[in-house]
Amino acid sequence: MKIKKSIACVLSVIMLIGMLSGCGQDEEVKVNLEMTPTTGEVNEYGWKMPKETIKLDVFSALQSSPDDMKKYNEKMKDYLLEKFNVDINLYCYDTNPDERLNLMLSSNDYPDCITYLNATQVEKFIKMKKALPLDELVDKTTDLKKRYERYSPMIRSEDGKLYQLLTRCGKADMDLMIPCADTCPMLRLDWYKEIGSPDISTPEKYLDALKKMVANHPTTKSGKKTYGISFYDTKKSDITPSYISYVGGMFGLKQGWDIDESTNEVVHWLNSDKGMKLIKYLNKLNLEELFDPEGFLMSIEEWGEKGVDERYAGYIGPWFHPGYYISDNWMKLMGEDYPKEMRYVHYDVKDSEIEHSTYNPQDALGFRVILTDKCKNPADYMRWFDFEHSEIGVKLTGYGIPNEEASIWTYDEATKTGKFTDKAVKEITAEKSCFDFEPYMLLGGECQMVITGTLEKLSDGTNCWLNQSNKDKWKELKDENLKDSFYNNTAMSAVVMTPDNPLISKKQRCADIIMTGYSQAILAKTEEECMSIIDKTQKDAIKAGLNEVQKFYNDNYKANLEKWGK
Amino acid sequence: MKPRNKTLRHDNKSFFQRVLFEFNKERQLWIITIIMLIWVLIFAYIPMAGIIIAFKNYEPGYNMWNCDWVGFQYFKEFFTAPEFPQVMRNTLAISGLNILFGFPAPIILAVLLNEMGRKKFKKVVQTVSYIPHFISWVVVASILFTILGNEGILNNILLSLGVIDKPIIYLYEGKYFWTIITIANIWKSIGWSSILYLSAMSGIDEELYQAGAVDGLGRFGMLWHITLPSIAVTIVLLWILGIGGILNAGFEQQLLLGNDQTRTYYEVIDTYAYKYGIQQGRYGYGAAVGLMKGVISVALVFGVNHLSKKTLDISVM
Repeated sequence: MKIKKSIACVLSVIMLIGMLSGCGQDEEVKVNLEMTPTTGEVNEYGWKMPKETIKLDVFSALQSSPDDMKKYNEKMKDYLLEKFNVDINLYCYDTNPDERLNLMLSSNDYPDCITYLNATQVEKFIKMKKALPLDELVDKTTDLKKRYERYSPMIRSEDGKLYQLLTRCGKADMDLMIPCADTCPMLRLDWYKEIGSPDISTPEKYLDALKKMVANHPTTKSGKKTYGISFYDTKKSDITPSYISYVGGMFGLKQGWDIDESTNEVVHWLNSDKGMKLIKYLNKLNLEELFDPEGFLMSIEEWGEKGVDERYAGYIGPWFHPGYYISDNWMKLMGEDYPKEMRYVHYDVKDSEIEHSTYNPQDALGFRVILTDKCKNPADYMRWFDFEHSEIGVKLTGYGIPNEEASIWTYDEATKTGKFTDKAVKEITAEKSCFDFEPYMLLGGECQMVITGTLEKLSDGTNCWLNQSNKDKWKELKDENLKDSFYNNTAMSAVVMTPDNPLISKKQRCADIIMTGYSQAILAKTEEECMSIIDKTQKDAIKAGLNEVQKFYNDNYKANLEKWGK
Repeated sequence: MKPRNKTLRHDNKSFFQRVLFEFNKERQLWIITIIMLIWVLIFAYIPMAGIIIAFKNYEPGYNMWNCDWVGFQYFKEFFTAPEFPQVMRNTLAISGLNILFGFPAPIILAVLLNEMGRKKFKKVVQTVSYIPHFISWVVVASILFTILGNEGILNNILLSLGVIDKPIIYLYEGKYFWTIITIANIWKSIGWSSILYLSAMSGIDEELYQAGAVDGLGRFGMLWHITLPSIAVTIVLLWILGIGGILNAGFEQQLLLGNDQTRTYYEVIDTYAYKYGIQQGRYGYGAAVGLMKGVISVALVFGVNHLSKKTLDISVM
């Protein structure tokens, strides 16, 4: 009995120690403004060489493959260490970023620098005083300071301090950016030409064209059914499902919100006539058997496989999906025999009652980057970020290592300028593009090593992306067709709902109800059934708090517009 | 002459000396078990202290001691949540079906295997039956998508036989979900669970069967009067533990097989705690839901065990 009591006491003490060990620190951390001293030497990029190796430990919060990141960053990492004496350890995880960040915070094990955060994630760190204030550090920079004159008023916290920088900022002002339509409706060009390339400017005409294309090609060579439209659902639980935000642009919805331009009133798509029109349209696609119902279940790879099997006449979503997952594979399979019109081409389709389609939100602020309270050398990070924002820094981190055989650009040390190689430009702009991305990415191209970075145009009219700076015929066509579909979404993207907000559970509840209801409504067997389901979904969502969530977004959106004067 | 009575010697020792004595006496056993005991201490007992966050307004990254007490707020929130009836319904339905069909299934398989005469064939069947236990749910989900998908094997068979004229998307229809998950659970666990019953059956005295044969019992008679009563203790013990786990309706299988269309049928306590607790960063709420489940499970185990002791004189503890 005594032994049992003793064991119980020991276990209690252990549990107590376990509790205490879960504690974190609450004190404010002072910002170290000291930079690693330099040797006086300057490298070919104008970078003053540090006496000791500057180590930068950066976690990328975007969900990506860590093996791919390591593979594509390796050479660039070694290059930067050799040329700049800077050792950048950039890593990521292939898990839900919110869960990963929560785990990092609860275990008090997070890195010096975190990039590719969204506004909500940043707020968490700022509230917990785990993000360093950056004003004094930014003041010591040149290129970064110039750029942030424009952006910092939009990202200062309530206490007036600057805790965050931006990753890939610049996508809102049409004068500052190279337009690139991210989302659009697409049609398979060869099948479209077969039916006489009819007008597809409205949803009904688009549907008719899809019907005719499928009637011409009802099955594949192996006898499998073809569909007019396919989509890949990201399956992310949200009050605006991914497919609503893609197709909503057809009816004037802005990422699922019906925003009145004159009053700036914000209404959720489920509460708006435009949303009802959208759901009816998607259901009609299903009733006409043009809609692949497995879109709700498939992974992107499974969707791509079906596409390669020639099962889809059209697609609405990110512009590069059919290219990357379908037509690139057709090119590889067919080689020289690949017909150039066997591809998906991008068009603007809009409801007749709206002035412009709204497929392409532009967010000036993009993702965010912070330096955490664990960072011992913030001044060194800031120095690197300053370089990343210089003209040559944008090119180096965007295009990868220059002057190698597989490089897409050359750097001239004498003039301190860089330009694309003729070979790269010729290949990327070819009508039947034969550009091989792999060797270029292995040199750190395609912005693999970007920590901050910008999408703003450089002085030579290029930006950090190869294929935006050099558009082939099809991309030119895409951006020309969709030039009216852009809108400034900065104020809405910057609306933040932190985990301690009592509305967060209501938002999740609404998201659950909406995700179930919208998919059931689309797959309903009659229009009446569809509207009955969506009606019930709306009632249930309102009961769960949709109108309160809507009011939150409405109030904060207007507050952002007022704060920024636009 | 000094007494050699160990008890007397024991009484003269201090507590510490007695502990050392016992440890020394059983040192081989301690050497074998000490590593596992330390592992259990570190990974099962020490983390238990974290249950305190079920009563605190804890956010990841904050000092646990500085967080405000919220008492039973999270428990109240769970019981009054609009999803509570549906979550409990789904949990009890899926667990109930698992107990109703999944519990007797390995017993029946064990009995059938026990009746098999040809040893080689019996071994093959047994091995094949417990291979699914080692297949992960991710692979099982892929197999089910292939079989039950819009263009899956089952639809192709039914279409070719003329039973249906349009494919049925089983994985989108909530009404099929419980059936699919129950069948998948049974297929995955039947072989492995039957091992326990087979080992219990192997301990039955052959003379009982011989005596039964003399008394004129046939195959079913021997099964009813000899085999089942002999393994009754094993059945009841596993039944008690099964009832205790009634609120464990699964997690991985729901996340893999479920989708937005079947959410109203697949959402169980564990997936709810994951979504509203872990994913939203409300660790305290998730902990409270988990704690509530654990407390009810323990109460059920004790309750059913007590009932079993009173009625059948069989108990786990």
